[in-house]
Amino acid sequence: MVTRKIELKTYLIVGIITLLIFILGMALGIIIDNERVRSIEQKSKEQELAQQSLQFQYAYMNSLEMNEAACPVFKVTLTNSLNDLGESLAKLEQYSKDTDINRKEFGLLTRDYILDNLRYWLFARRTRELCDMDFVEILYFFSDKCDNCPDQGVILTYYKKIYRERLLVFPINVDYENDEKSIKMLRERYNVTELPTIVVKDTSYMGVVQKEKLGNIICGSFKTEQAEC
Amino acid sequence: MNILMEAFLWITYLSALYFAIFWLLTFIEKRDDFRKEEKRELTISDYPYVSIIIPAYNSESTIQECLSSVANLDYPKDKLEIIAVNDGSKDSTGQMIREFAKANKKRNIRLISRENKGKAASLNEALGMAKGELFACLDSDSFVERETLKKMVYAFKTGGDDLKIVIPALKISKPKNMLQKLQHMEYLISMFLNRILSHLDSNYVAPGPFSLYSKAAVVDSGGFDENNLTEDQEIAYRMQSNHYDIVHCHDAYVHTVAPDSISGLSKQRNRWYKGGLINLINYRRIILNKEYGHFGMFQLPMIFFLSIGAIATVVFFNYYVTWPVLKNLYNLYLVGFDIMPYIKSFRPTFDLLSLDLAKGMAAFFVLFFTAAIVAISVKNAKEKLSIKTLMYAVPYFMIYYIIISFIAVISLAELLVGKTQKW
Repeated sequence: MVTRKIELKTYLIVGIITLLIFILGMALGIIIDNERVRSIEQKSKEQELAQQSLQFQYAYMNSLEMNEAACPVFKVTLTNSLNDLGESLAKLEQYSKDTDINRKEFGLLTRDYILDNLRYWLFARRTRELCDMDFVEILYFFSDKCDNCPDQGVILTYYKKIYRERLLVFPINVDYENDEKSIKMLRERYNVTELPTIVVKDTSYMGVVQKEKLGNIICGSFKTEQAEC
Repeated sequence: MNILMEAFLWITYLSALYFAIFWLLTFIEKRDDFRKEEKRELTISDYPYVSIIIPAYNSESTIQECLSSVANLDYPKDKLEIIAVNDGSKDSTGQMIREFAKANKKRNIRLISRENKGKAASLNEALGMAKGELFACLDSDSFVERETLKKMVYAFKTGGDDLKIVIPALKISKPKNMLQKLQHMEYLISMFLNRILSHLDSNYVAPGPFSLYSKAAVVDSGGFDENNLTEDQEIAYRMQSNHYDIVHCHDAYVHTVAPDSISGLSKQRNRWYKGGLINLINYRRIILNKEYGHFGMFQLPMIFFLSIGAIATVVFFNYYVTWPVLKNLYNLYLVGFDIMPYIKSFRPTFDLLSLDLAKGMAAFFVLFFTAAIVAISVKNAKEKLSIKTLMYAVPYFMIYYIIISFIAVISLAELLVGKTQKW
């Protein structure tokens, strides 16, 4: 009979090396997560500044009544800000999904972004009339808990890619409505009882609006004829 | 992401990491032993009598080469007998064996012909008339090299009284298509693992192609288990459970034919995995039992982990590949399969923060240890270590391992609903 001996030492050493590698990975993950919070916070500050700048430009246009002349500058600032906002929001969504540790921080940041979105939405509406710009803005009410909301998201993204700065989509996550009363306000104003709902030119469309129908709605909302329609 | 999924992923990663590090550390620790093995000189003073048993069933395409390789063995003629068992073949196998025996009168070749009863039964019947102190069994689709038997007998002679089985170093014979080349890679890796297991007294299978046994040990413990799906595993478990030694002879090369199609492969593996699990269940008292050394503490838990690993692979594959693909297809359907807007607006961006670095690092370590094991395995098998060989590691893990995992999971599922097949 063979006498069998196992050296516990080997098992322990292997275990320690394994744990070290594992902890190294975990630590890296935590560092990255914090870095993400920081970068989003920074972006958020930049966007706040951009918004103040817009506010000033807007007030300036109103008071001096030189609307026409100031419009081009205003237009550029607005489109850039909106693109920026869209990108940050996409990142924020991805980071919040990944995070295990900074859930609260990402939650607060999301609220921040919802407010930004609403402010921009107001700007956009007023500017369109003031500067005679031709774009369509869509309010998109959704929830993380709603099953077919992602479908509407996909279709909206598709048209956003086609019309780019001529189509402004303002996503509103109603999951935050208890924290952010302005969401509730808008929801009541547009009579949103079902999710997803999109609002185009103050008309609400409940349930998923399919590709064809949404295409027609968008086309019908431009002031002038568009090549894509 | 689903928290259960996340936990499953990390546990699988941790376990895989543990096993890989265990192997590599053992390899480093036993390097001197390995070097000594390489430098040995094959001096055998008195050759033991060896019986070679070849169970054959419908193997007319390989039996000729198999018999020739045995007849060509560098071993004293008066110390070697060959017993071929024609297990009710429906082709010309029997005829071919007879002709070979006639043409090689100098070699002691006998033929048993009878109705089909299965491999274990063939082996037991041949054992009844075998004269050897040692016996080897050789699958009829496998071929030995000239020096192989001598090396294995030398291992037997120097391995002590408790040594009951010597197992060979298996390679794939003339791999032609991609699937066979991937199996070739697989066999090289298992060859290296078997060598390490040998130093841990933990070999768990005596492969059908040319394992060399002490006849007394096998016969006294009841011969081969005729009801077992994988009798070559069962005999190894039995010897281990009796605290006997099994040794892997690192350069006793035996070449075996690999299945050349997925269906052939899945048929073979279906039997292996089911048999493996059944044996694991039958010998469960050994699992995590310190009395059985590394075999109980390391090897059997690892076999168990491999099943979990296969399930994990299938789950992750569906979660990270199948599901996203289906979802994207559905999304494309939503927009009427019009992909032009996406292509036109595509701008490649790189953002370090967007990468999941924790998972990236896990992937890096898995790749690193895998590459290390592949490289060592190729060198260990005395194969040429080239970039091209190493490149095979990529499809090996990206495609082959996933196919194998699917087969394993299907086998496991079939086993759970009680479907087992004979071979």
